[in-house]
Amino acid sequence: MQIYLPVAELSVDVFLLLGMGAGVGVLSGLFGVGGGFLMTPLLIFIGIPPPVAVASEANQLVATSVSGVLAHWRRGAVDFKMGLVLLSGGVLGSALGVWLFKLLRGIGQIDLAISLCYVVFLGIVGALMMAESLRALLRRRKGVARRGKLHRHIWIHGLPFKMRFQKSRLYISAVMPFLIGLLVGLLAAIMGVGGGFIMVPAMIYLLGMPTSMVAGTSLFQILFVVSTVTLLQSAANQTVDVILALLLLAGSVVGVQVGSRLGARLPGEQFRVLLAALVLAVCLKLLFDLVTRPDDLFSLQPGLL
Amino acid sequence: MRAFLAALLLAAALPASAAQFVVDVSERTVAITAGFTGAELVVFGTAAEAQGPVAAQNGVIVVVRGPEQPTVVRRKERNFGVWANRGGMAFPEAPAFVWVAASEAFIEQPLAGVLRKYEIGQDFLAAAPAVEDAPNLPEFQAALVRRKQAAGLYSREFGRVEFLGERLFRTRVMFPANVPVGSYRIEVFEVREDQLVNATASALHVRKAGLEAAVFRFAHDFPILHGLVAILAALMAGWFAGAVARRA
Repeated sequence: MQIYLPVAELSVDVFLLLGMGAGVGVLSGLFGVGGGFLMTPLLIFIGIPPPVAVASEANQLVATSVSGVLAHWRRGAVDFKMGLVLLSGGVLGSALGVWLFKLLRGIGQIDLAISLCYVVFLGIVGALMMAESLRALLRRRKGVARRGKLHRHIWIHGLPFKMRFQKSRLYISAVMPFLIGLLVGLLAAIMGVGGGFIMVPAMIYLLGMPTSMVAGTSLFQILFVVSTVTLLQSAANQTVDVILALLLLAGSVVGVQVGSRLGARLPGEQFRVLLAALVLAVCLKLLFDLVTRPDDLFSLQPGLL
Repeated sequence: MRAFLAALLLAAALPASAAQFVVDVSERTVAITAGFTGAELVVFGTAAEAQGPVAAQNGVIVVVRGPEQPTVVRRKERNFGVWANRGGMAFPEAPAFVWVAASEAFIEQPLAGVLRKYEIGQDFLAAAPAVEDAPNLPEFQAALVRRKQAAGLYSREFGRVEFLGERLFRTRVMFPANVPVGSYRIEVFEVREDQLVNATASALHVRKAGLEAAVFRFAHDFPILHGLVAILAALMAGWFAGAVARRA
């Protein structure tokens, strides 16, 4: 059954969109990731114009993150103070990102910028994740449980504007979370992702937050950042397709439930290796498309130079 | 456009034909609704002069032309191993859609002559670039036609104009699902012995209808409000999904 997407201005199979939503939703539930980094490239592969894919995926992520935030909040696992510092950077970053997006679109380089961002960030995160999970697997095989140091003093702790974050039991400079928020906001606007895949490692390794607080707090920041991106993309570029977002959402809602139930029963470490492999596969596919000669060197774009 | 006006003047200057040249189309508007997967219209009419036995130089040509849209053709080049857009050419008035049909006799060779003479059809669009004396113009014009054909918006080959008897003709026009909205022109030419004897034009509208139109207008006329509604809808959907999941 075909449906005409009013803003994307093309017609797509409803079941394809629902299926993509469900498939990415299962992975989200399984691994606790937003799935934007998979959904946006998928949307572009099926022919949705990149600006519409990025903006509509941000819209869908609003829904995905709100149910997550509520669940973590009920368990008291959201550090609101940290979230607000991250968010202040995030709002600025996403405004900057939407502006940059418009600029790059005007000079015909937005597709390249999106692809390059994906290749770089998926490459880095995928490689780190693969190394980390393989190490964890090996450690488990050997049966050696090493305990890391509780606090390592690195250059980050020398930055000014120190703030106390009671919930996370941290006394650190507000500069670092602000910068992390800024970067994630920027990426959310350009790549159509929530940015959890960057923020979660950054919160654990750079800020030293307790893992119990990380998921809820990052979702809190993501909720507001993707909302900002949705609003700004709609206002500046008119590229948010609500029908597209709602269809993806309907699929992903079901998928996430299936995924999280599956995840509870499956071995975590082996699956993290799979996630890392998946991230690297998407990265390589995009890299391959960038370096191979396209079938037609020419492309069309509405508007003037 | 210029060529078409010239053809009209030419037709007006001809001696009055024995019968009228009448053309019509099955629908005047194509409405894009939620389930739109493309549309098929029938352009039909009567030729002023009887076709007689199928003569090579007699027949009818139908051209359907979409709204003119500013379009940039970009070309990729290899830089540091990556293929990236470098250089482009702007065409301020490239037709969004072109479809050409001709009667059987014309689909062979003589058609090209007639088309070229009156600048009919996509190969003779001669979409003018924004800058004069643009280098590599033919290459970019060819790319414009090729990409539009790949998108299904310019016809790759001529459609058939069928004759039912000596004067009555008809042809089917296919509009794909990604047909751009706007005003279209249906131009019909009657050719006899390689000479244009009649030409007529009529309008056709492609527009969004129903929910699709409402959503699109809302997104473009009230972009900020639209963004807020989009966020609210997603918030509610997410909250609802979470509530249902907790129950289950």
